[in-house]
Amino acid sequence: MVYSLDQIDWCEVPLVPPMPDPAWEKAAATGKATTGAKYLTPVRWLLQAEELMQVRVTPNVPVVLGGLIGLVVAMDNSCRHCYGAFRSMLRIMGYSEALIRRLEESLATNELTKKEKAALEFARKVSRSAPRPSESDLEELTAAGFSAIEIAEIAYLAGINACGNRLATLIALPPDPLEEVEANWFTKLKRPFSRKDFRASASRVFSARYPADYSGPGRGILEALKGSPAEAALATVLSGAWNSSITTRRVKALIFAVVARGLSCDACEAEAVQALRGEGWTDAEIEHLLTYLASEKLDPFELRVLHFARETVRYQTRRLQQLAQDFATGLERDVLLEIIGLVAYANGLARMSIMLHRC
Amino acid sequence: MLTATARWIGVAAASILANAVLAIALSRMRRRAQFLAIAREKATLDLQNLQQAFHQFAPQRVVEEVIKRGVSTSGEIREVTVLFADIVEFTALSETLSPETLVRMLNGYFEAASTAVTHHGGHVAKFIGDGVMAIFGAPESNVWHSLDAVIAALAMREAIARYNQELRKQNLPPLDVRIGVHKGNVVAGVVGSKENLEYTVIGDVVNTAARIESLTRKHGVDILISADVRPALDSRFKVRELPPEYVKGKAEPVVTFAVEAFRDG
Repeated sequence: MVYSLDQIDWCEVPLVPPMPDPAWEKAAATGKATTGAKYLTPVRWLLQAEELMQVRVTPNVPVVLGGLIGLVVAMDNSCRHCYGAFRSMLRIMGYSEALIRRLEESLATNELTKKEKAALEFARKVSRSAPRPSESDLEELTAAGFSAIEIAEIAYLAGINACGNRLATLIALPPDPLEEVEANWFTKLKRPFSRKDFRASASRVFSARYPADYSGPGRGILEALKGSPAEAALATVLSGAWNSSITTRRVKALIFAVVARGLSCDACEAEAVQALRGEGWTDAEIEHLLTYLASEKLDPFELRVLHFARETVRYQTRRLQQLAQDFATGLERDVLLEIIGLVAYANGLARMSIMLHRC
Repeated sequence: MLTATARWIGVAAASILANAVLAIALSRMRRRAQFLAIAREKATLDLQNLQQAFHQFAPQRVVEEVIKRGVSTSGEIREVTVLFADIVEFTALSETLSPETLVRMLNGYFEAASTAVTHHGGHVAKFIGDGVMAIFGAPESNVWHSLDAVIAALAMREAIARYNQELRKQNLPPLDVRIGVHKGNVVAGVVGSKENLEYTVIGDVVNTAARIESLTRKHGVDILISADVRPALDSRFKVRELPPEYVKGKAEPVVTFAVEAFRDG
């Protein structure tokens, strides 16, 4: 965990080069483009995931609390890219520098309500998952006055941020354009007038169409999110990932299974095991694979993916970036990015799955 | 008229003087406030750096509790694997070397051993004389803690072999390092006084791991694992079962396995 942006040891060179895009440059100047979009091409589902991470799909969680969850999780994970972006977002929304500094120092600050503190503590536990949050953590949220759907959305936000942090860290994304926009003297001058627009656009709830054909891991979580736009947003991404032809379903199922075992998420593991069975694995073979992290059935590439996925369960920023650089050797851009996206989502799902205890 | 003017001048002068005094006082107060803000900022930064450093040795939630309350009460039962390593005949060796050479040799050995442990997800809990105690599965939970501990022991064997080559080049005696690995439940937590806290694990597993390490001399092998660790290894590991031996503190003889080789991939 870090307490300021300067403390983060961040790789200066991204894992893959950005794709040149004049339209992106134009949008970035007004803070309407994210860095990820430039780096995630050509993996379509990842680009869509990046877009869906920028819109509000959790209407039951106040916008500011959503931003605070993003900030706290990014700080905890020492993700330079996400931490800077959330910090800038909160500044633009009207949070003073002094208040953000106090929040960075301690969640015990008086500026937060009891409810907000409870939500932020819970989000941090979900993101860390070392060990997994328990039933009593959920009870604390209920006692603080949160409803079942609010708890599900808070868990979703914590999990999706843990996922976004991994994505940004593994690729070593440079700072978000929002940081520059926030620091610009002209936009600072305009801020009192533009704040209302920014808040309004951040408050707008986005709703995606639920894809009809999704059969991969994460179905339990989607069920738990029923009633929230987050359900369709997550389903869109998972369906895109599951149906992508860049890597095989076998590789995808392996990633979800090993991360679920690493995070002791039985529900996620059961779904991944079901997917592996569909790929011709027997239960004995799967158990052997997940116990020893090895199998005669794995080819060298799959074995490499398995070990990479397993190492992403724990967060040490520089170590993750080094790991990604080693893993990237000899891989095509699309394969590398898809695997990074898959491990990020597998981590996000296994963490947010704590919401299943309430359903 | 003159008196009124003089009074007016007097009042004006007094007012100017009062304003000047007030301005000086305000300026001093502002400077003092600035000084305090800088001092507070520095103290906060020092504390944050300290917290960040401490996070590497204990779980974040434990560190937060220590910061909040000054002590930690969150000892917890965890399943971990404990690895013990030490140098055979180190006391005799130390008598033949100068203090500088001895410290240099030990530092090289600790470096090699620590790197092998941390590279495989372990945490070096203690250096005890020439011994190293490492924990796998705490502070960070890790479902593959036994597997990782044995792979770390093998990595340590390789690292020490490389280090011995360096020592030979310097005409120094090679180190004979023995390793014992055992798993089980321990109480993990921050213990000690307010002035001297450390994250450690406590329990029979720790003592047994040390006893297993000392059995390596009897069996003439360098890596020994307990029967509890054995199921964590698959056919990639070449292991040999050894005759049960009584160790101090155990009523029943302890079954151990020598780890001879590992075929990765």
